[in-house]
Amino acid sequence: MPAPSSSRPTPSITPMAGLLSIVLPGLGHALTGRVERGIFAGVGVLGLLLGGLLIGGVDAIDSREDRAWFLGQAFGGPIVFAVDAYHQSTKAYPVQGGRAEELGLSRRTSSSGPDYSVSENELDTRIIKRRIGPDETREVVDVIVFDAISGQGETRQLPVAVPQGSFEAGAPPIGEGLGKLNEIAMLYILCAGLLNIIVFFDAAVPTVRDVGSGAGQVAEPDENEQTEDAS
Amino acid sequence: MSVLAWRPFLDPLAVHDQWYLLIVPLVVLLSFGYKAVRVPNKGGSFSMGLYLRQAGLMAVQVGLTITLLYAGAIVIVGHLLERIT
Repeated sequence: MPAPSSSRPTPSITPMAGLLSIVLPGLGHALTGRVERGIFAGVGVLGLLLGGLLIGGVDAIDSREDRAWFLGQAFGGPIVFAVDAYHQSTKAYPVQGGRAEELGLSRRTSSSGPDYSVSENELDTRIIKRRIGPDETREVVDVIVFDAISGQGETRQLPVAVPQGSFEAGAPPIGEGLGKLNEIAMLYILCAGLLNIIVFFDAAVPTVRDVGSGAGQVAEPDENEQTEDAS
Repeated sequence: MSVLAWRPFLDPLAVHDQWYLLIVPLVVLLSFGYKAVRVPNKGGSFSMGLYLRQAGLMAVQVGLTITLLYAGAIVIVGHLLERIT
């Protein structure tokens, strides 16, 4: 009878475990019976994610201004996307005259209709939403968007950073992350995303070796089952 | 209306002078998270002792490597480049 060590057991693929590990790191491992691994993996990934947010604030995740970082951070799961969506919702388009030499929406002198106008080409290419300053408020107002070729305009509701000249009472704007702290915070969340890739694959295709089992031996995903001999 | 000067998870921390200390929890969390899925079983089951040993060792190795790279960068950028250029 041929030696059983020459045939390796095929690791079982559990897509649902992988999917759960994306939703909540460690949950996939718990589904396959590896609770301790799931707990510690979840602590690692979520600890890095929440640690990054604690250090850098919401500004540590920005899919528009830090796109390269976000491509790696996105593997951290729905939490990253939710934080980014909230972050983008706090931004607004600048207006001309609000800050020196800043390109923004034009003020209209007309006494009726929207207070601001902009060409569609500028809105798509040159004017971008940014976080509001301490002397500004974010207001959703009617803006006339002109087509540069046809000259026709349509009214849209856009968030605008309106200068106030002084700090307004109420919730202050989101603090801007600067310098090394912002970079370290982004690094925390990037590491959380990359680590979650490893956690995902280990949850979906578990290949855990036993100590001393030798190279090439693959243990059964169920930790209660015996492993093959190294010989 | 918010009465906090610093809002957790919304505003960044103000620890610019001690930024290097933040590398420690990064290395620890990374090591313990990675080893949680890579440490082998012992006797067919997850071994806490083996896990803590390997994760701690990895954390020390990564931390030392980062420190040495930082020292090397200081030497190269701060001293050698000045003499070359």
